[in-house]
Amino acid sequence: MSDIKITKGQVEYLASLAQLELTRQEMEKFASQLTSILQYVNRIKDVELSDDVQRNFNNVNTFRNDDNPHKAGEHRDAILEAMPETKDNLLVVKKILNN
Amino acid sequence: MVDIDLQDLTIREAHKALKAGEYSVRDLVDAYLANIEKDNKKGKGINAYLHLFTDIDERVEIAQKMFAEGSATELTGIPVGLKAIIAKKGQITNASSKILEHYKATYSATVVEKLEKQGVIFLGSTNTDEFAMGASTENSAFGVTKNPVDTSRIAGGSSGGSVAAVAANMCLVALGTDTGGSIREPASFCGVVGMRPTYGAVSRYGAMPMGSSFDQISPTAKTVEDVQIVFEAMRGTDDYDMTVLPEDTWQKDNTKDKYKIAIPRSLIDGSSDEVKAVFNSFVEKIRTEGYDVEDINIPILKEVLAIYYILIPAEVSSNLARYDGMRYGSKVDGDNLWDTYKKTRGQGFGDEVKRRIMLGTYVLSAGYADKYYEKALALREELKSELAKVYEKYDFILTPTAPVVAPKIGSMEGDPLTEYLMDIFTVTANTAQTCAISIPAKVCEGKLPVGVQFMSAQENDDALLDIAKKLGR
Amino acid sequence: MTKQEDKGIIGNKTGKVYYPTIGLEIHAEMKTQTKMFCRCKNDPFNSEPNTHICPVCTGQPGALPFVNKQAVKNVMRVGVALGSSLADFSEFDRKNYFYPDIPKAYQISQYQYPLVSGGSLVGVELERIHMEEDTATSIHKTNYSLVDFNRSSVPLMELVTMPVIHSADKAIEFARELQLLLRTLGVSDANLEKGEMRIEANISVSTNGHFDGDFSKLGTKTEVKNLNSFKVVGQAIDFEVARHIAILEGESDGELIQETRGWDENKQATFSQRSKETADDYRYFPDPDIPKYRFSDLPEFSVDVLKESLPELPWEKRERYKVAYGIKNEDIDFYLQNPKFGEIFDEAVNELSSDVEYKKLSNYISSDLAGLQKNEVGDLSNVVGTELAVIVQMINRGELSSRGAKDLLLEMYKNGGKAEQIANEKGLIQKSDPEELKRVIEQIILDNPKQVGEYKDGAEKLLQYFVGQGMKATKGSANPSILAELFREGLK
Repeated sequence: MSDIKITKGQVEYLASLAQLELTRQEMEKFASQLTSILQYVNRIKDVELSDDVQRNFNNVNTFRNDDNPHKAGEHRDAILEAMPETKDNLLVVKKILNN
Repeated sequence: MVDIDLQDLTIREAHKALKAGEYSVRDLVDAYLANIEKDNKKGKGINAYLHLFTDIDERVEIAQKMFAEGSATELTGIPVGLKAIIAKKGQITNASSKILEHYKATYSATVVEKLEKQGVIFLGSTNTDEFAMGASTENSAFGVTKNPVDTSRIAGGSSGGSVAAVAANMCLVALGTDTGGSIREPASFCGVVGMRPTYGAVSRYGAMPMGSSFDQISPTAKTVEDVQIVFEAMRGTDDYDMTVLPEDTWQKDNTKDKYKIAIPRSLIDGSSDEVKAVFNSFVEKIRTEGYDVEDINIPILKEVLAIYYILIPAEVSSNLARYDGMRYGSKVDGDNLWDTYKKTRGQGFGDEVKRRIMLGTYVLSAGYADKYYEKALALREELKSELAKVYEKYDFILTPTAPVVAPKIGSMEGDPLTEYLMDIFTVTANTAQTCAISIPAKVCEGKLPVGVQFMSAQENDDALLDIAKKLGR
Repeated sequence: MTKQEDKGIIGNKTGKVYYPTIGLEIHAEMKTQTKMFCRCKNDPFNSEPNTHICPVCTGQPGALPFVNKQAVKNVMRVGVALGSSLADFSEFDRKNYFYPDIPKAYQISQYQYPLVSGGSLVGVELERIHMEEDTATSIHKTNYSLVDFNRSSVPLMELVTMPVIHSADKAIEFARELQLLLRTLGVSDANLEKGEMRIEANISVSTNGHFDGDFSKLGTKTEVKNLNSFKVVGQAIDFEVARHIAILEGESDGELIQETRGWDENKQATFSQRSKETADDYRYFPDPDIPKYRFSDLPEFSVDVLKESLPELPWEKRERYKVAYGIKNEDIDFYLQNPKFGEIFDEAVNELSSDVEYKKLSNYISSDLAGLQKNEVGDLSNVVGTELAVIVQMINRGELSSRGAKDLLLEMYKNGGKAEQIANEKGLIQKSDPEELKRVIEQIILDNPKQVGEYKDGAEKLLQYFVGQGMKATKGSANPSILAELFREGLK
C-alpha cells in the first residue's frame, strides 16, 4: 500500500490534463491528500474477481427515432444569453491556436 | 396571516385544507416564506436556501387557478425546495459553485416540468456541497447549512439544504439528489425521511451530474407517505434520458405481508456507540413486532467505498469538464485560450471538486486505468451479482444510515477521507444502482437524530416504501 | 529516387528499397433529419449561426444524450455493404479533451466496441468503422475565434483502414470509391469541400517490406490532416513519402518524428502542426449516460435485413454495365458519378436488345445529353428513358438521321414530350420508303441530263451530288443511304 505516492510533478500533470490552475500550496496539499485516498482505494487490488459474473443489463437497446426535429431557433435565445460574450450570434472565445 | 401548523403538516392534509378553502395557496406559501425570512433575519440562520425563485407569485396564481378550475392534484400548491443542481429555466442554478454563481438555467429539468405541471410551487434553490460533492454542505461556496436540531452541527450533505429546509419548516417537501447517500445521510442527521430511488426510476435530465451512473433525483419529507407521493409524480420514462428504465418493469407489485430482513453485522461494528445503541434497539423493536431479521455476512460490502471512490471521481472528472467558462458561467480571462481555461477552472472550483477531478483524471489516465477504473468497474458488477443473491433470500438489507450522528461544523476539515467514510452504508445502493430509504429511528428526547436505512433490490421501490411506512411515520 | 510501382522506391544514395505504407482515417457526416444525440435539425450548412442548438449539443449543465437510431443504422448499412462484421455488443465512450468546439469537453465516440469491424473496399482492408458526434465549427479572426454550434453533435462515422495502401493513387481510388458508396447508400453527401467527408492519411516508409501485421516493422508515422480534395490527398502523400525517404537517405536535414502535419496549398508542402502542450491522454471510458447495445436482440439490425435495404452497390453496377451491356468504362464511371444519367440509361436500356443499340444509347446519354445539360437551358427530368430508347430504335430503323436525333433530343430536353410525336411535328422522320423516294429520284434524273451522262461515263463520285439533290428535294428528311442505293439502281 505504501508504494503509492503521488508526487507534486504528477499533480501538475493531472492539473494540466484537467485544465486546472493550482497554487504551489494546493499542489502540495493535493499530493498528500491524493496519496492517502489512493492508498485507501487501492485495497481493491487484493479483491479477486469471480469468473462467473455475468453483466446484467436491465436497460439495453435504447434509441430514439430520427424525427420531430426541434423548431429552428427554439432554444437559441436562452443559450446565447448565457454566453459570456457573443458577436453576430456566434460565441466569442480567445483565439484558438493549435494548442 | 392565517396560522398554519407547519410542523406536522403533510401533503394530503395540506391538499385537504386547500381544497376545502381553509387557507389558500398564497397563505400556505407565505407561511413557509415567513419561516425562511425569519431565519435569514437572525443573521446566523441555518442557510438552507441560496436564494428564492423570482416566479413564486406567478406559480401561486397558477396553482390557485387549478383549484378554482377543479384541475388541482394532491401536489398543487405544495411548496417545495429544489436542490441547487437541478435546473429551473430562467432561475439561477449554481450548484453552490463560484463557477456557476450567476448562471441562469437555459431549460428546466424533467422533474421540474413534471411537478410544475401539477402546480407545485418551487420556493428556491437549496444549498448543497459544491456540485453535490460532499457529505456536509461544508463544501458549498456559499457557506455551510446548519443542522436545525443543533446549529453547531452540520445538516449533512450533499442535499443538506433540501433536508434542513424540510426539517425547519421552510418547505413541505424537497428534492435533492443522492449519488452516495446525499439525501439519506442528511435525513438521518436532521431526523426526516430521505429516499433514493432505483437508478433509472426518475429522469436525471436537468440534474447536473456528479456520477452519472450513480445519481438519482431523490425526495425528502417528514413522512414516508409524502416522499412516496413526490416519487410517484417524478418517476417514469423521459424522451431526454436514455437511462430511465422501461415502463413495463414497474408494473409488478412487490409489496408483501411479511418481509425478511438481513443485517450485515460486521460492517456495522465500526459505527459509534451512540449509533449502534439506537440501531440495536430499533432491531429489537421490529423483532418483537414479528419481523424476520437475520445477521448475515456480505464480504464485498467492505470494498464498496473503495469502488465508489474510484468510479465517482472518474465520472466527475469528465462530467465537470464542461464547466470551462466558454459557453456559460464565470469566466476568468487569462493571457490566452488555455490560460483562460486554467484560470476559470482553477479559481471557479473549490477544493473538494478539484480533488475529485484530479483523482478521476488519475484513475482514468493511461497506465492506471486498468489498475483502478477497470478493476473497480468489474467489482461493481461483482457487487451487483452478490447483492442479487442476497435479495433472492431477503427483501431488505438493514443498516444505520450513517456511522455517526451529525458531526460538529468544521470537525472534518482538511481530512477528506474521514468525510468519505461517512458514506460507508449508503454508497452500496448507489454503486449497485438499487433503492434505499432512511427513516428516523426513535430517539430519546434531547438526543441527536439517528436514521436507519433499508436497502432493496432494483425496482423494488414500492416494497421499500411499504416497509418504511409500516415502521416509520 | 526511382519508382518501381508496388515494389518500393530505391533511394538515390544508399540504393536501399523503401516501401511506403499508408493508412487512411476518413470521417463522414451522416445525413439524418436530426442530430446524433438531440433533436436539433441536422442542417449545419444552410442556417444562420447557432440556429440548430439546444441544451444537449451546447453542453448545458445536466443535459443528456439520446441516441439517434437512423444514424447507427446508416453506419451498419455501410458495414454490410463493405462485407464487414457488425458488432453484437456495442457501447459509446467518452473521449475527454478540452477545446472550444467540444462543448462537453468530451466527444461521445466509440473505443473498444465499434459498430463495424473488418471488411474491405477496392482491395483495401478495413480495421473498423465507428460512430461519433461532430464538433462545433470555429471561425478564426485576427484576435479572437468564433464558435457556431449548428454542426455540434451531427452524426459522424469514422472509418479506419489497415495500413495496407502503398501509393497515393490507391489512396485516392479508395477515397473516391468510399465517397461513391456513401452517396449510393444515401447516408452522406460526402462533399470534401464542405467537410462532409474528411480524409487523414497516416504515412510511413520502411525498408522492411510491406505491412505483414507486425506494426513494429513499420517506419515512423506522420499523420497528415485537413486534406480537402482528392488531389491534395495525392499530393500530400507523395510529398510525405518523398520527405521521409530524403531524411532516411540523409539527403535532407529534417527530423522524422511521429507528429501531426497539415498541408500548405501555397507551398505545396506539408508542415508540422506544433505538438501539444501535454501528451494525448483522452481517458476513454464508457459513457454512463448511454445504455449498452445487444444488436442480436434487434432483428432490424441483422445482416439479412440490412442487406435487403441496400441499393445496387457501385461495384455491382459496374459489373452489370460491363457484362450485360458491354459499354465503355468511361460511360460506366459517368453513370456512377452521375446517378441521374445512370437512371435514364437503366430505364432506356430495358427497351433495347442489341449491343449496337446499348452502345448507341450510352453514347447519346454520356455525350449528347450530358452536353445539353452543360450548355442548354432545360431539364433532365424532361427526358424519359423509354423515349430515349425510342430515339435509338428510330435511328436504327433509319427513320432518324444523327442530325435529326440531336434536334429531337434538344427539343425533348427543353420541353419534354414523346419522341415519335416530336419527330413527326418537326418533320425529322427520314423518308425511307423506296416507292415514295423513287418518284423524287426519277424527277432528279430527268432534271440533270448532263450529270447523268457524266456518271454513266464513269464519274462515280457524282453519286454524292445526286444524293445531295435528293436531300434537298426531301428537305433533309430522306435517309441518305437509301437515296444512294436508289440512285445507283436508277442510273444503271
